[in-house]
Amino acid sequence: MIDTGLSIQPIFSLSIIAIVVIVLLAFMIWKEWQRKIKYRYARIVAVILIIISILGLLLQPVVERERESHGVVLLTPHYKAYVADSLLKASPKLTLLRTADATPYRDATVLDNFYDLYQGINLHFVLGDGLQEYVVHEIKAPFQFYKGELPTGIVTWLHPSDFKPNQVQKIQGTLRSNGASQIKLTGPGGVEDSVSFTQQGSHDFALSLTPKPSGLFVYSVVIEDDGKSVTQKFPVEVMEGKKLNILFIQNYPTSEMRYLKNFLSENGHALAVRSKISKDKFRYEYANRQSLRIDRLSPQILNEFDLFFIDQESLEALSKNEKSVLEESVRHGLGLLTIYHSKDKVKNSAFLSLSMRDIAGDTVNVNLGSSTLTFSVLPLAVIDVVEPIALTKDRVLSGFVNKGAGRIAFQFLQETYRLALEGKKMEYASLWSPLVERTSRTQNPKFKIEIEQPFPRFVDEPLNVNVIAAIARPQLMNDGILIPLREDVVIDDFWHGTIWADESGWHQFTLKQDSTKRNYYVSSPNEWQSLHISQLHKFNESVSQKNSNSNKSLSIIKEQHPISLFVFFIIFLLSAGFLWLVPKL
Amino acid sequence: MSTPEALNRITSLKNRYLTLRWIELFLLAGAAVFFVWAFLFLLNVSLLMKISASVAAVVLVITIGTVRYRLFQWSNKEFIQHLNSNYPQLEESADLLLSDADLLTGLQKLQMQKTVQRFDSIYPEIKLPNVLPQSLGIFVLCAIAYFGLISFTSPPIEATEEAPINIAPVIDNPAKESARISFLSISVAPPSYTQIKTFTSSTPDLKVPEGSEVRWTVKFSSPVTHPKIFLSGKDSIDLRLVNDQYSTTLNLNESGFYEIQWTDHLKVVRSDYYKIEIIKDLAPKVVVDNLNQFTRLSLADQRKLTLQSTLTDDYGLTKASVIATISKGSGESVKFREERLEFEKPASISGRKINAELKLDLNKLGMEPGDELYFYVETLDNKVPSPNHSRTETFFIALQDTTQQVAVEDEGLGVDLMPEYFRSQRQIIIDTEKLLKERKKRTVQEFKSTSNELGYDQKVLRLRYGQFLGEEFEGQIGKVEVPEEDDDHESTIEKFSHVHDKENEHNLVADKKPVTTEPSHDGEQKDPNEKENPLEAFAHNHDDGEQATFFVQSVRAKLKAALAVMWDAELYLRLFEPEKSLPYQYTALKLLKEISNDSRIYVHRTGFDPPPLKEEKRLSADLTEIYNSTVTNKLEQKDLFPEIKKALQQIEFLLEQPNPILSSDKKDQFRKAGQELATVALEEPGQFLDGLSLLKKVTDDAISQGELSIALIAIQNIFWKVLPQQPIVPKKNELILHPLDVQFLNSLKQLQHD
Repeated sequence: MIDTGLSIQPIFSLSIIAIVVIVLLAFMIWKEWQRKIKYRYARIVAVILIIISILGLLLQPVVERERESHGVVLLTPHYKAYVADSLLKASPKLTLLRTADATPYRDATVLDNFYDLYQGINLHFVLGDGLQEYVVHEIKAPFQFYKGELPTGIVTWLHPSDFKPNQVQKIQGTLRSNGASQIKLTGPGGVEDSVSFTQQGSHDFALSLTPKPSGLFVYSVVIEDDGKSVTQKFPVEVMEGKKLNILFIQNYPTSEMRYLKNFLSENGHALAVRSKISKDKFRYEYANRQSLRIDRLSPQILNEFDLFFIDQESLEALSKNEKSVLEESVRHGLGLLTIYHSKDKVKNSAFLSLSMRDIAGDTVNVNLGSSTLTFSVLPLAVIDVVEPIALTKDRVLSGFVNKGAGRIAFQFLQETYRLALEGKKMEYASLWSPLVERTSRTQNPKFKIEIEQPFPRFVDEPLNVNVIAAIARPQLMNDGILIPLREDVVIDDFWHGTIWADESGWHQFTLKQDSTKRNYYVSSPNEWQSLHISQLHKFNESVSQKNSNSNKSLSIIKEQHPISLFVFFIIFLLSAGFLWLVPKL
Repeated sequence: MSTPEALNRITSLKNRYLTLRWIELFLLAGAAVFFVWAFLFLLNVSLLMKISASVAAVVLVITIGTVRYRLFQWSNKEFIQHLNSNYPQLEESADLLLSDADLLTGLQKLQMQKTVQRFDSIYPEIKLPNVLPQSLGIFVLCAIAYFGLISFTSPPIEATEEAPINIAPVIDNPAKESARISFLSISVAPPSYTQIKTFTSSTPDLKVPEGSEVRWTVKFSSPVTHPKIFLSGKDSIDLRLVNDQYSTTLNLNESGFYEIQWTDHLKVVRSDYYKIEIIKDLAPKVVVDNLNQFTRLSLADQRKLTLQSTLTDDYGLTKASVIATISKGSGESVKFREERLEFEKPASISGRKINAELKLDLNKLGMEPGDELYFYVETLDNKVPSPNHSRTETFFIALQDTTQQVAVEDEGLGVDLMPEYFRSQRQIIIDTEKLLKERKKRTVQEFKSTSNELGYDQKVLRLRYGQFLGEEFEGQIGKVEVPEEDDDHESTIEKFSHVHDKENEHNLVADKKPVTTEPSHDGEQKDPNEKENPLEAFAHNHDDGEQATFFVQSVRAKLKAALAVMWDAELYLRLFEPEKSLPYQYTALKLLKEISNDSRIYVHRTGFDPPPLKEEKRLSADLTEIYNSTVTNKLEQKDLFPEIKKALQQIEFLLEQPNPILSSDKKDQFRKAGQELATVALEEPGQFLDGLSLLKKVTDDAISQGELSIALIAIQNIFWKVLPQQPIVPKKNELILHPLDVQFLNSLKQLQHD
């Protein structure tokens, strides 16, 4: 080990320290010179010593030493000792470092801070849980990762990005258990779902929950494994959806359209309906919106709407120009849903150009949650690939195909209004809502706030936030505090920022220029550890270089040893004591 | 030792004595207090009573003590006397110590000197009389007795049979202890008919039979004012003070909840909410056990049936009977007879479950073949004032009529019972046309004969319509044209033959001898004088077809015209010129059609008056005056329980905090949510009442900080339950595309097109 020099880590800026120290030194020397007592030179030496000690306190000097190494093995928690043994056996000159929370191993020295890793340490191997993403980003050299033992608990947890009210939603995951175990998902209304396993090992599970009102909720995930019980908090943000703008055009009023119209308008969607009464005579209905001229389809009109319901007769009656306008609007995102009454019309439809074959049976039993209901259906089976919404064993009943940014949907079930008539609101809604929602135009807001880190997020760990904002200077606030943003070097209107959450719970990003909000939940550090570790494994494996670093070359590790500040303090004390003592001698 | 010194000692001795006595007395007084408390504890009296009793005891003990020891009269003299009598060494001269030395004689002075010395020598030995150890012993004993009692005795039980119920009062201002309910008894007297004895509810939550009389008796730990009972959905009821306890009586008929409120020093104190559940008196159940709903008895079957019926009720039945209806005959001549039959077994109806029996003897009931018996069992329970009533479905017993059965079997063999009365005008036209077509094929004789027959048909038709008009045959309009041969036949062969070509074949129209008048070719010949009859305008001659008022005037006119045309049609048919007859026939048909349409409209008019149709507009496809209609409406349904939803979010926020604090606006929100909850709780008190009282405790700060989060979780749970499961609603999906993504997609599309 060779001492290579001294470096400093000043507390204040160097210039300020220099000015203050020089002024102080000059003043004190002048003062001592003025005093008419003995030991003048000794006193001046003492003054200089005082100044040096003050400098030492302010500058915090560090001694740098160099050390030869054949590469560093970093042991992180849960490392497998036999892997370290094997590595050392293969190349005994490896230097061992371990993080403070890893179990001690032979002569492994504790890594004080990750900063050292960035400074010339030739990191070859990482064992155990792995390094955090923000650490890895700073380490320029590639390393090999040997993952440690995966802890028990939930190791994967897939949940919907946003929860919708009154809809059954599924969370899927994997549990590693020691023995008989149970997972219980508890919400504000009590236990929502639970799953139990009798044996140890890795189990896939699915939990379902049905949120009711919109808002921010914290559910509890209670894991009972081998007699031990762990409670983890799972954030659920239930978002009330935005309302749709829907256009109906029908050649003659039908019950099907009427009940659909009522269902949608009762739920607050904005509707414009044009029903033909006679030749060139129409009845216009507007629900939850201002009236609008819808005599003729034009791009302007169609861009107003998110979804367009039209019956087969009206679709055929459209002029050539209108048809092309409609097609173009669909390409730009409009959803089109044609109500067909005969199978031939579906087959010959210019818009829904799908290959279909006739199929026997014009009735189907559809299972709608609680009950199975029989419907009459167009006897058609779609051969092409479509996105199905409702389907039975042998056919797709409703679904859609993408066309540009828009979607063209079909519903082969007939006379679904019977459900609404019978008061089966839930079943009727479950039949139409997914189709309407999936088919409608997707909203493309001007602003969006995204958080890079997946769930769970922890206190005092960096959270990278990206903002898409088509304005000059978006101002992002985190719980009301302005966050500095920097624009992406390459991509326009793409901004990055980083925050460190200081306490667990719900937090909110807001944009000053817009009403866009983003709620996020920060978990307490002792929760979701197993999930976090499994995410770390995946990340570290993704950056691990399998066959790199074959050159076991010598590298020099620079170690920095700070000089104890206590030394400076003692010098200060002795010198000052001497100055005090002199007049009394 | 000098005299003043001795005097001082005497004074201090006296004070010591008094102090000892006072301590003694206080110990005894304390002992008395313990004793009184212990004694009163056994009697379970109020705190006020206890305090006054103990004060009395203290006063008594001290008074007795002071009187006995004359503590207030003690002076130095008394003490000297005490010394003189107890210490002979002083030679009865202690009083000299108090005397003024200057006034004493020499001997007295000498004696005083001596006494002072003696006093000095005995001073350390002077014993002051006291019973302090004894007093202390009594005090300790009493204290042990009291504490022993309260620690080993179970909570006090009222001497009466009523069990005390502890109700934790919800206090508006918890800083000061308010009056509490020290005793609550609820006695429930169910209505007498239920035969349930009066009972005392063990909890303030009540579950009582409908119509019960409930009596609340409340005692408070200290005097209160305005005690009331608040019933859900009703006004408050004041509790009346009777013998230092408050009580009120109520008749309960509806489920709900109640709370007790009282005022203590201008502070309003409320109890928790308690539920009232009403056990409804259910309607009785009646089942007929042994008969099918429809029984058909043949002639050979026994005409005696036993009706077995099981009747049940939750409290008791009072009355049951069989209501039987016998129907006789059929069609228009059906007759009904209703009878109320009482059960034979048991003789009188009472009890909760009865197996009743009744023998139905159909012969006795006077039933004959073809008759039907309808019956149902009806029962009443003992509920007052109005009993519950229930009945079975109607049961049928039919006796088969064998004679009728034969007729039914032969149905296919009989003649067509519905004769073709006459040919319609259309048929006559068709036949005429057919005749004209086949003219060449037929012989002249045949042709003429057929034409004549058609003429006859036409006549019958005319006569038929003429009847509608009130014409009695050819009474007025036409003359009878009875062929001679017909007359001949009539007289001789008529009764034996089956002649169809006859106007009154089936005697459907009352037979009238046709008035034979002179034949005339012109059917419309009338007496010209008739029109001039001056009476005609005033008379209402029903016999006259002209005057008959079967139809409204326009229909009459048309019918008359039709008949006139028919005359012509018949005329040409009879003249063997069917081609000339046809136009008349068509006219007649047209008129008849119009008439039938007219009468249809006439029928409609009784209900609906259609707007007059403009013939020229009809089906002209003219839409110029029809406009597009526009309807704008707002249909969005109101959000259910908005305040509860807000409160739920608030609870989530509070639960996230380590030490939740309820600010006043949060409490306001909870109160609003509570109002919404109350509406639900009224319908289902059992499920949501706990939540309501918990919510009240939280908003009234009657819950400790430690328990707050548990209470909040419970409230959250209940709020969640209140929110109904709603149908899935579609919403607008968000898809965030960076402008670059959009460009990329567009370019991709462009490539596809190319």
